[in-house]
Amino acid sequence: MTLLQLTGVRAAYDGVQALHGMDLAVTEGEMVALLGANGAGKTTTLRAVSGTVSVEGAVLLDGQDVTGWAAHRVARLGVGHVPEGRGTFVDLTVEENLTLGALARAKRLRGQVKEDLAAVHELFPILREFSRRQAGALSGGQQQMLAIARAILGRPRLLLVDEPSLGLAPMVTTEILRSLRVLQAEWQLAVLLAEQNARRALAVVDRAYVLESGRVVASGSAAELRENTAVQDAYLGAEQTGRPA
Amino acid sequence: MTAARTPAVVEPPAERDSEPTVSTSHALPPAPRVGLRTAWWTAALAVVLLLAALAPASVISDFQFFQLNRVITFAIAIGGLNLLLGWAGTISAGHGALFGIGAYTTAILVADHGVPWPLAVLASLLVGLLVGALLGLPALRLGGMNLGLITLAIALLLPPLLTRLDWLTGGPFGKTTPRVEAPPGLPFSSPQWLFLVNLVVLAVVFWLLSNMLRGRMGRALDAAASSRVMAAAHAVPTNRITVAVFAISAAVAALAGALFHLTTRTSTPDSFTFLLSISLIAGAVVGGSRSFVGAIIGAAFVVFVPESLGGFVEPAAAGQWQQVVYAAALLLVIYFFPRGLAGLVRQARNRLVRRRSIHARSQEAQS
Amino acid sequence: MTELWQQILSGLGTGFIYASLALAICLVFQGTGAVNFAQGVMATASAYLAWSLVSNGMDFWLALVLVLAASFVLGALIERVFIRPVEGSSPLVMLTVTVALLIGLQAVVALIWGDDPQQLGSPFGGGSVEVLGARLTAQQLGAAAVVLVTLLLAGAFFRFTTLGLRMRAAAQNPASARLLSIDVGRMLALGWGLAATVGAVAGVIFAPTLGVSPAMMDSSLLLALAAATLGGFESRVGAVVGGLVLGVAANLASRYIPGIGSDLQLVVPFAVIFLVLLLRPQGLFGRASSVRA
Ligand SMILES: Nc1ncnc2c1ncn2[C@@H]1O[C@H](COP(=O)(O)OP(=O)(O)O)[C@@H](O)[C@H]1O
Ligand SMILES: [Mg+2]
Repeated sequence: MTLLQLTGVRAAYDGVQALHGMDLAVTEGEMVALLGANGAGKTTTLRAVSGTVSVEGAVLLDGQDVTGWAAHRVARLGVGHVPEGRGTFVDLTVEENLTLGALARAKRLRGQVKEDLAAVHELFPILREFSRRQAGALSGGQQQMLAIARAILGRPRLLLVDEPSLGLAPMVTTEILRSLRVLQAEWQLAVLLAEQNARRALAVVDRAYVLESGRVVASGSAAELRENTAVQDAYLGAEQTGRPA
Repeated sequence: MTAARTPAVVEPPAERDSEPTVSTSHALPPAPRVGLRTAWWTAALAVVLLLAALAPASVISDFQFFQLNRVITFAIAIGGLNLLLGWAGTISAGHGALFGIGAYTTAILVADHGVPWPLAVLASLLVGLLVGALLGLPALRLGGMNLGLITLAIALLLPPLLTRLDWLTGGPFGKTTPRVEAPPGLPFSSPQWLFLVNLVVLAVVFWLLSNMLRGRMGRALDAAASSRVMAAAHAVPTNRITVAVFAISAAVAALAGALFHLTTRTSTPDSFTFLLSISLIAGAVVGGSRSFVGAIIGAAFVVFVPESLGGFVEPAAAGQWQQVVYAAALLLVIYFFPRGLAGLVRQARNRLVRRRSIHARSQEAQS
Repeated sequence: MTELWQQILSGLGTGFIYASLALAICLVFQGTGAVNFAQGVMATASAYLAWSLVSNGMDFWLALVLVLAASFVLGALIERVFIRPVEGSSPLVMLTVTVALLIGLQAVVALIWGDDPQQLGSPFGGGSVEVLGARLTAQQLGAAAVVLVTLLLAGAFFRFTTLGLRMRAAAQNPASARLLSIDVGRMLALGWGLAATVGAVAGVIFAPTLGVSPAMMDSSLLLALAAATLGGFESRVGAVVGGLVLGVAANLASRYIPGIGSDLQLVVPFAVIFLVLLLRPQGLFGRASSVRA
């Protein structure tokens, strides 16, 4: 069943168009990547979903039109967003950050916080160790883990993750993405992952959209895109050898 | 500042109304081009007002000149404050006190020591510079908002100090000086004469300040305000500049205060309370804190808006209703013109210029 | 020695006024980034409200409760109506809005209740108590106790409740807070409401000492601003401690430094601030800014 549907979504910053009519869909429990170079519009697409940029067009969440909704209302429908730059509460402790994540979940799941927290700690043991520290005192990679942990503790149905590989060692990124897969099965979690590093993303997701200049220029299953050298050369070329500075 | 005049490398003028800009190595972002245009506007305004000064008393009464003098002196002080608010990225909650220090310096020198008023005004300027430098010193460590709150101290302490030091200041009754008359032979009443004097000072001060801001100082301030890190990377001595700017700004405020005293003739401790300091800030924001035209608009706002209500309400509550209207006007301006009313003027003029150039182009096309 | 102790204690007493206003200022600043110059006059309005109720025969404590509730609503309303339109603007714009609120509200207070000072009787009676050799009036002691409890409650609220945690989150990183389904606008309004309530406690409970007049909170506001600077605007504890320190410092100065007197007692706290800021520009309790964002 379709969980998220964007139809002709356009978005602009100060009059400069960043999305030129995006169409995409994510089904329940599916893991989908948004690929594309820097400035292609990946972040803006995620923002369009979570309501942190104003859009034209239609954003449907589980059949409900949420276009133009305030971000906190969209979040209440079960959308988690790990934003670009992580967005941890640096002056709060790790524990408080996680508590805030858990507070964001739907009421019927409130009883399960303990078990879920244990699962999250298992995934990211460092967060248990540092639970009393200020988030601002963590390293970049640790903060990235905290941001992801905080978002999944909200038990979202749709998790938007913006470039988790930034600040993380490649192995860790892969590890985290795999973990999301596991959770996805257990928690009926769909993931929309923005990523510049196509190869790494395509290794874990089911499907992907390739973006350029605010448009979808290609899409398909991960396997198809892995094989499709034309698309790779045209849009993802630079990423095969590593990210540009 | 002199550098701005030497056409070292003449670039094609980006905008028609600017002189060839000097392009030394442009490590820092270029200073905004407000200076020249503003100077133009100020000059134009000055001419208009000069003509007004020559108008017979039946057209503009002495009381109205008195009011205009208040506007001009406030405008000068706000222009000085703008250096801090609009350019240095800091704030002073004590400019009302600096204004008061200038007023009292002139008052004391003229009343008790028989100093001619022009010299006394000059002395006020110097005293302001000195006090400003002393106050600005903590900027070496502080900067930003903290500096602003430190300046609260002088805003609060000046009135009780003025009351206390009665051997110097005349205590709660303050100091009164004789009327400043026009030089013999000139056909001006005292307020008219002061109006001209104030106007000239305003023009000169704003011209000097905008020149200063167009030069190295302006660029350095912009760099400092936009990013302390970047400024440090370009070896801009941020703190020293901040102190210098604070001192200059204080000197301008004191100068304005001196002229204000000449207009009102009596200075008492409660003329220069904290409320005056925040009125000056309000005037700066209302006018637009990066504009000297804005300083004039802001000053007019601060002087006229609270009084515009005079006849409408019962006298007992008039003061309070004035305050309410003043507050409401302040809020409305901020809500609708967060960059100040000067922006409005600029817009209107741009539209005018654009229309004119379109007009010119269509005429060219026809010929 | 007893004399000194006496002066310290009564300085601490007035320090509680500054401390609670400073805490209120701090709450507002953390939430909306506005230095609220109207915080004092908001407390004044609360004091007048209490005076109206009490002089119409209502019990002081009942009046206090009602006034606190009303102040909360008023504070939240002010945020919704006046601050919301400029949310996220520069500190300068914010400051001008609160200055406008100060000017406007002070006039409104005077229009409603007049300029003449009014008296509100002390709920603690006219007695006095001996504390470790110093003599304090029941009013001094009671007011300090009430404010102390308020401050502790406020601290516990932020530290231990989830609403408090949400408010801290919204203040610190509104964008992230929204992503966690926190209604930031509501949190900011709550913050203003809470600040108004804390200020109202001080305004009402100290009204018997200060007298009720439109200007009753003027000098307290300024000392509270100073206290917030001293403690660092980011630190609630710092603001409270700053307020107490200033209260004591001002009192000791006016008593022991020849020629200072009550009109210039402000000199000393500002000298203290000056020194503190020179040594620790972020304030006593402020952090030297979190480098990693
Ligand atoms: N805050 C912003 N203000 C103005 N333009 C922006 C902003 N954020 C992104 N853009 C522009 O929008 C376009 C899409 O950016 P973004 O969605 O961040 O791309 P990506 O995440 O794929 O790198 C780019 O051209 C970028 O310059
Ligand atoms: Mg991005």
